[in-house]
Amino acid sequence: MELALASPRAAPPSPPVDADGELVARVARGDGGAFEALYRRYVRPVYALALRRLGDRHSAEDAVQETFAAVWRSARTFRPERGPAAPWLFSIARNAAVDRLRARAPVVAEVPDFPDEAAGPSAHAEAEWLAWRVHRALEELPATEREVIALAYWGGRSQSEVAAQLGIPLGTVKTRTRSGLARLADLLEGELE
Amino acid sequence: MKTPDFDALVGDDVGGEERARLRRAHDALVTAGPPPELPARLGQPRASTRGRLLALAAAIAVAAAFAGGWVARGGGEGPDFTLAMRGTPAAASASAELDVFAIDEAGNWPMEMTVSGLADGRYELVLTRGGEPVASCGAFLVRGRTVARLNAPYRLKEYDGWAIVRPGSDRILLRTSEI
Repeated sequence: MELALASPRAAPPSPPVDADGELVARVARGDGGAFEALYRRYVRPVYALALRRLGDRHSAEDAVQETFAAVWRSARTFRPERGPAAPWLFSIARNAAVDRLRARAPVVAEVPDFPDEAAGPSAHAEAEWLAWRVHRALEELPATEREVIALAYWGGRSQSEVAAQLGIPLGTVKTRTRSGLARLADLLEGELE
Repeated sequence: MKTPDFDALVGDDVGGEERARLRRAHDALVTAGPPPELPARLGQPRASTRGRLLALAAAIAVAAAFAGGWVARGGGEGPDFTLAMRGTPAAASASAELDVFAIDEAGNWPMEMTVSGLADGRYELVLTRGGEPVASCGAFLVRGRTVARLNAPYRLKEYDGWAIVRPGSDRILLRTSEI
């Protein structure tokens, strides 16, 4: 799958402003409100990443706490000129999960007879990064759009079933779905600019 | 999990580049999978996450102020204050206690640290600012449970805690826990 969602467009969006970067800068100055805003934006992607890495909810929750403690401690080391805040936060979250993984008792692995054909480390890291961006972008969607997308993609509902479940016209479901996808595309493209 | 049909979702009245854009967003959603349900305890940032270092800095400042009064009263033999240190995930089974004694006339804070759970070797106690190591309080050798005498020749209120690292490394192995 192509990870780069950027594509030429007739009317490019306004120059990207790294709102997350501004929040990190405020956190560096000790702004508790900015920290809470950053937390709300990123807690789900951080948790998803940790859960994927660690495989159990308790450890993942601890990794989330460690991630945000590290963000609070290290916000002043963030350099916006080196790039946006999302990859910086991703690195912190990934390191927190890796640290927790390393702290576990070592497991003696058996050497397989045949090479594993599953995705390698690079593909794994790309998948994590993609999931991070998508989960982060979902947080930005209006609740009405996020709701229909969640039901369609992860609830296994047809659009008619979504309409019936939510008690809204089928046309509204279609409009919200398309609008949500377009907004997601914008958000994912914007991050890569 | 059944993957939704992109054509059914978007219809056939969107074409060209816009359809390709929507398709990429669709593929990204399918690949990413659903975000997990958030456990209740992650619903809000824990006070300890945000306030840990502030609390610690405040505690050190209070302790330092208390130390001033304690010295003025003529002092004693016990520590002025004691801080617990916990292992980070890099040294999860390690722990330490840091006894900080009264500041001397020259501005030194004598300390005695009891550490256990670290692999044998050389380490360094550092003061942190913003959670990062910034000022050395001396190196020490560990062999099993170890008691090391160290010194902090600094104004403590300019820092927010202590940490233990390997000499030359910024990777924190233990740090003062929230109090």
